[in-house]
Amino acid sequence: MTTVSDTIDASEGVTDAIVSARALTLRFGGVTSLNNVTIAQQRGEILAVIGPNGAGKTSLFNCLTGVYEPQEGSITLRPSKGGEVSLLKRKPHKVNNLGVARTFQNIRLFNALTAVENVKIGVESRQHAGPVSAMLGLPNQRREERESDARAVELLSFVGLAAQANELAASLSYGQQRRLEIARALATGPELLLLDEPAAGTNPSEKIELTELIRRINREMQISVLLIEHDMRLVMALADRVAVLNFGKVIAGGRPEQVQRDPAVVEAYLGAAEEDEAS
Amino acid sequence: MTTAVRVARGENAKRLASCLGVALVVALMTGSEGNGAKPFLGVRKSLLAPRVLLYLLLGVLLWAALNGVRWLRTRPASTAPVVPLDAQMAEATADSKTASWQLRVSAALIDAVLDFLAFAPLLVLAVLMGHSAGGYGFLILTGYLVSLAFALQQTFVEGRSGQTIGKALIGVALVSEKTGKPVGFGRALLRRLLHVLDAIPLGLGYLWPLWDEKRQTFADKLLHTVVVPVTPNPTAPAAAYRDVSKQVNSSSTTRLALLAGVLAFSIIYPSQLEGRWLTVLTTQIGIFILLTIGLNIVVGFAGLLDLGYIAFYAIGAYTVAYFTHGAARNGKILYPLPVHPPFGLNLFLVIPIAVLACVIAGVILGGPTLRLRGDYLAIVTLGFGEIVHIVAVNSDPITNGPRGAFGIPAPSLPYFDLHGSLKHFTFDQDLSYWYLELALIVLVVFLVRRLENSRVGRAWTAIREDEVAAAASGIATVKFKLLAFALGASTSGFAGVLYAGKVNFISPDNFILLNSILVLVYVIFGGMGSLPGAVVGALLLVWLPEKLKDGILGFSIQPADRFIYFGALLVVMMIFRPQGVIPSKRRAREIRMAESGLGGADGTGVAEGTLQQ
Ligand SMILES: Nc1ncnc2c1ncn2[C@@H]1O[C@H](COP(=O)(O)OP(=O)(O)O)[C@@H](O)[C@H]1O
Ligand SMILES: [Mg+2]
Repeated sequence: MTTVSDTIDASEGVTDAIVSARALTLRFGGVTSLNNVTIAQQRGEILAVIGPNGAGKTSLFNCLTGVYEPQEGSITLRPSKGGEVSLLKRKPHKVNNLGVARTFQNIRLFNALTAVENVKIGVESRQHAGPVSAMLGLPNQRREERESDARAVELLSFVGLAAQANELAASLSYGQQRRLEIARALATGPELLLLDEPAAGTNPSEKIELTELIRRINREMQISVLLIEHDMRLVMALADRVAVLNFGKVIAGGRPEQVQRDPAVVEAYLGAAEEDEAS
Repeated sequence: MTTAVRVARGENAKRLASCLGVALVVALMTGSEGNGAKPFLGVRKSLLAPRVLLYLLLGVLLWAALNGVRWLRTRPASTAPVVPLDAQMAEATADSKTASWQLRVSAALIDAVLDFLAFAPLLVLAVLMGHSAGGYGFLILTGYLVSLAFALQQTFVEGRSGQTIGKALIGVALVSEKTGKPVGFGRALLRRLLHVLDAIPLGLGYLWPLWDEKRQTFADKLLHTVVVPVTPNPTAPAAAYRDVSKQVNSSSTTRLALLAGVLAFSIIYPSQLEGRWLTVLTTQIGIFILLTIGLNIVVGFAGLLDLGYIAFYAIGAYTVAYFTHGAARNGKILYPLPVHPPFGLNLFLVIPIAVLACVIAGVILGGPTLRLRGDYLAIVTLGFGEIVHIVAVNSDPITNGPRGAFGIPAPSLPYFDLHGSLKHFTFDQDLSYWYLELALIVLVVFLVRRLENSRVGRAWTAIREDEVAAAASGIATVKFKLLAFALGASTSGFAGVLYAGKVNFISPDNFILLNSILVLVYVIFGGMGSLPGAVVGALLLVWLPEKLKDGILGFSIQPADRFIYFGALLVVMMIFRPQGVIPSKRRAREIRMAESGLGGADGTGVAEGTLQQ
């Protein structure tokens, strides 16, 4: 048994890590958002990161995706094509190009563009036609344009937004916007997908759809999913493993049932949640 | 059967238009009203001359004759499936249910214009036969540039699937005679060029199908291609969303028709202008339109605030001054600048050099600074603009200091006359220069428009709206910003080249901060991110102060006072129509959403590394 102040190694039992972070520490002036966090994700699994607000979950995502640079620690990505790359000091778009896509806790879509254009932007970040091809409408540009159209439409159908393809991103419902953001992330062809509270602000039926969607992303597209979520039912239904953050530290890690019973977790976080659920 | 009838009807209309067009031009040219120096001055008079009617009548007769032969020939074959000719593409469109009347009309118009242009060599012939064509030469030149652009545009589509092309030609594909599959790009291009050519000698391209069973053009015969109608496949999901980007920019056929009108107007109207206004047109309006289009890429598309934009204009202009020189006088060559290379270049050859110089300058300036946030960028570019200006003023041994560079020659194009001797056509008249500028503006608009609707343009929009999300979606933000910056810079430099070639004299006074700000004002006034907005913004705001000098309805202002009114106009504009005169749809949405609290319209203020939560 661990006490609240202990830091747990949430990479235990991971044999084939797609990404692993060692001893991450991130400070903002006096605030320590991440404190010696070690966490790893098994290739192909759904790993949930839970914890109360301000625990450092989003900070962890930002470190993984190059938005923040941790003061200490290392982050290693092992793409399926082999080799190891460090994600430290890498620009966000470079991280994305390496196969790590993400969504944001507070949705960040391109609001003046339509749904399909939002997704196309993701697809097109992998394309090559330059300005000259575009200006002259050269065949390679036209081919890519057709490909990105087709792929975007395909992905919109995958997330269930085919009918909204030509609507402005801003005019979609909250749940639809969340799914559109997922489609945009998928469009970049990731091996690892980071979802930051995808169910926040969605209604119960949308939550069920979302659970199904995440499962399909994981199974059908074979994408590893790292999930931040508050909704325990969703986490329990989806996660292969759970890591719990509190005050920037990993306080528990393991199988969902196991973690749910962990006294440190109950104390920090789940106690309140379970009471909610009971009532 | 119905198809055959429709095809024939559409072609008739087009032929009639062409026949009338040729007849009209011939009628105008054979009159005595025009004169060499002001070729179009007599247009109004000669339009009323009785012989015009006569010629038009001849045109109709010609058309009827062509048609009669054709009609006789096609009748028996009408049971066989009719393969529409290239010239009949418009009609194939009419068969698809989606084709509106606007679509059909503009398709017919475009086709008529295209083929009319193909007849232009007739005019050349007339000139050589002793008629004074004067300004018509520039018209023909412009016409060829435009028709070439059209031809290229069509090529790309024909080679692929024929499902798009300014919507006018939807529903037709160019396929190989043998395999029945759409032909490759190379063959389509070749065919297009051949087709333009084979229409030249007295409309041979028209006549050819009369005795050709398969109804192929001469070019088709050579290349073994056939134009066939294609039914758009409604089940293909991609096709269903194909129009998305077009919706955003509403390139509807109505717009196409409007565009054709504007083009015709800008070709014909200037020939009626008197001296001062022609000068304003070529030395200010045309140049500032180009500048505004360029800055619109930087500010409007990518959301970068560039306050030193005119510096690139200066670089372009001084590059011309460096690389060119005037004719020798008394055995002594007068160079525009104290420094010069051992050879002089034609201005047209300096264009790529100047563009390259500006791209390099843009990258050197942008490389380190585009990583900065919007407001820093504005300051740095402001500084750059000032540095370039001060260098121009103070580097006497190189730039000739405040006296500036003079004696920059006008651009000229070489050509062979009938006797095979080399001649030069020099763009030293206002009108010819205007046609040159117009052709180049059309070209730039065409290219930039494609860019806007491409992967590159969307990436710019993404960066402008949310840089963090753009980067998270894999877009190399700095690279794309640099690209926008460099493209803007090169357009600016291009405008500088044209300016220098027109006024033949540049001085540091042309490149002051005020000009950077003015161009920015034109962009904002016209509508940030909107190409038509950029053109209209520059046109209106350059024209207005000039017009006020003359006085409008008895109201006139001193040129020096115009900025007071500019300021007031802008303030009013920003209050009542912040999106500009002709806003871009994307931008207008951004502003609407910002007003309802949904995201930022402040294109230049997107914070890098905006933090989560
Ligand atoms: N950019 C930042 N500047 C200062 N403090 C930050 C910043 N980002 C996160 N923090 C702090 O780090 C802590 C963890 O935040 P966050 O990772 O967003 O938590 P969570 O996503 O788990 O709710 C909070 O105390 C937050 O205030
Ligand atoms: Mg968070």
